[in-house]
Amino acid sequence: MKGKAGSIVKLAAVLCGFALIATLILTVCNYVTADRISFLAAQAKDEAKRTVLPAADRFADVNGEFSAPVKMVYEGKKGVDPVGYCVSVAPSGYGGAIELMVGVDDAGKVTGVSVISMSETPGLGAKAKDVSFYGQYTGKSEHISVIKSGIAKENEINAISGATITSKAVTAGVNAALETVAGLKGGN
Amino acid sequence: MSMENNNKLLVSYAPHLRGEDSIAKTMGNVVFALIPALVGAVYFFGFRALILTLVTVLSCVLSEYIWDRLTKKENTITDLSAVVTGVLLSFCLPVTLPLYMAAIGGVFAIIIVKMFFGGVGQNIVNPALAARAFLLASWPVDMTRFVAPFSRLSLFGANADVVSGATPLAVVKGAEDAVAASYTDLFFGNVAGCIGEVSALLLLIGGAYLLIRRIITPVIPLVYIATVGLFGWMFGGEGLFAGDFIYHILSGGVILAGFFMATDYVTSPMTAWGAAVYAFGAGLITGVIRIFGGYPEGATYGILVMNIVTPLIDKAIKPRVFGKGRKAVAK
Amino acid sequence: MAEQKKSNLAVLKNGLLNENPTFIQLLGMCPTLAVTTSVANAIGMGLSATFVLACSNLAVSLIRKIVPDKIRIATYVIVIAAFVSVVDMLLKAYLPALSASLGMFIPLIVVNCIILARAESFASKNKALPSVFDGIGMGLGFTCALTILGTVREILGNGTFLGLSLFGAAYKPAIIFILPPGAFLVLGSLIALLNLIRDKRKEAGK
Repeated sequence: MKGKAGSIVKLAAVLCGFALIATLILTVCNYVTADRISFLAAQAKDEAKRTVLPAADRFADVNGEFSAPVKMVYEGKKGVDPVGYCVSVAPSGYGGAIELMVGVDDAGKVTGVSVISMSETPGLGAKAKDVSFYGQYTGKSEHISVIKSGIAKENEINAISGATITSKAVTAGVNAALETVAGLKGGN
Repeated sequence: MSMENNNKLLVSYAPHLRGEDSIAKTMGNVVFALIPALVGAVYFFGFRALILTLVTVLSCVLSEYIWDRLTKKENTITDLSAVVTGVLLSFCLPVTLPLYMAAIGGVFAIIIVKMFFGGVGQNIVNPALAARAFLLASWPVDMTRFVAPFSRLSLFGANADVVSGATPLAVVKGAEDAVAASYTDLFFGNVAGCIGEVSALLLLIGGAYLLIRRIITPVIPLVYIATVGLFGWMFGGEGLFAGDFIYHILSGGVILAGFFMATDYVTSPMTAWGAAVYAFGAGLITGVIRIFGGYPEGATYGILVMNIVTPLIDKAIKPRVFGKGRKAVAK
Repeated sequence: MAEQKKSNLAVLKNGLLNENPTFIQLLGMCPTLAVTTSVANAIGMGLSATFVLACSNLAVSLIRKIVPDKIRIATYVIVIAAFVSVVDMLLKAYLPALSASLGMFIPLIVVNCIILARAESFASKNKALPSVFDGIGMGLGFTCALTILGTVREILGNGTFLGLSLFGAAYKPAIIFILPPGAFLVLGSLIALLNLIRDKRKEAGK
């Protein structure tokens, strides 16, 4: 603390110096962690595809325009043989968009559904992440509808009790995925 | 800390002149006015409705008694306000609700909402409604399991397997399995719903009693109920002005809330104009939640929100000071 | 030396109890209310903040003589932001699950007023070692408060503790406690309880 407040140039220079040191530290830290972070992110993304379409071992983007709630479609291949599709859908639930990954095999059957992210109410809509709910979709191939009580028939699923909106949103997402895949195959 | 004890001049809020009506007398009248609806609840939903009411009343009164004992305060249960809270709370619960949840609701209403804020006259929101909101957020599945009237229910058991029935308001929400109730069923109460809200007739009898005894003034119930009805008429149908005015008034808890909950002295404005603003706001929020919101019924939140706004309304619309110009306040 | 140690311990205790940042100073309310939905989140948040607090207090204390008074706040913010970014990157790389569940609230430690408050009111006036102790004390005080809050909320609202089911399937958790209103209810009740205990102690001490 020499003298009184220095000139504005001096202040700026000091601040700049601190910013430079901070940047240096962050650069080093980024250098150490960046690879691992991007690796984890890619892994997480592939992980979701792999869980919903276990038959495939690699995935390729499918080009094209998709209408909401479908966001992206990936073709799953085992070696060179196509085995099905993974569809990323984001229907809107009770607390905003629910991001789902839906696997559909070549026969047009759902092979799995995985919730990537959502902000549904804990204890209610958030139960969509329980296997007891999303497991119901596996094996379905036609338009799926939601029932609130009773025993689900073919192409019906039981709603999460108290969370009909969430259940319907997820179902709408899965239905959209089924339609998209059917459309893709029809076009081929 | 002990400012009050040392003060020579005691400063307190109006009213400084008190009539003969004690809190106990007023509350006694309110309880009396609720009896027809309670009889109706027992008629439609069986004795389990009575047990539910007894549980909430007991839980409220006991909570207040224990709190008074623990904090070494004067025993206040004789002013009957805890009884009123208990009855009103049970009235906005479904008959199948597990009894322990109803009891927790009573504890919440009295301890958290009323006693934490200083006891009778100090609570910022209606205890019964706040407790209902608490229960609904805590156990949404149990709080929305309604049954049709005259269902066979276990008196003390869980009743988890009873077939649920859609409330008349589910129709407004567009639920597929809901069938619109007829006006007569809605008026007499032959519909699914919370135990005390179903019968418009019996609630109106109680409300009329309160009006005649001048326990309440007609401003809040009239403005509130009319606002909900008008909002339903304007936005509740296909296109503007195609909704069903009468259906919106008779279904759900609008009449119960308008006469018995929105009119709570502590949490509603002091002036007639203030009360009108308050009731209009509550009706508007109720309507918005009913038609556009995620919850089936908005009466609880409409009134709770306006309870909180009440001090601001009282600040904006002041009561006329006795002996001062009439012109200042439009009458 | 012995005296120095004692004062450091006193500084530590100060942060944990007498001037607990959450329950007494009511600082850092945003993360307190938002991330205490589970014990794991609460501990993760608390320890991250503790790390940042200790580091930033140390750095601020070391540079306190060369920082001009006029730009001290700006400098502190740079220091704090740098450490928070480091924590954020490390969590993302090595604890991705925790990072995902804490989400936005790790970067938001930058604006947690506990950290700037300690830099300004303690580290900028004290030597390095006591500053570190102050940071750790305050951080642990914050962690403890968050953990208590998280414990109450997770047990009541989810029926679990650290993810382990406590009461079996028959228990119906009161969901409100893991929703935002539950945070306010529990925090308010805990502060009321602590004030009651303090008042009782004061009375007893008289």
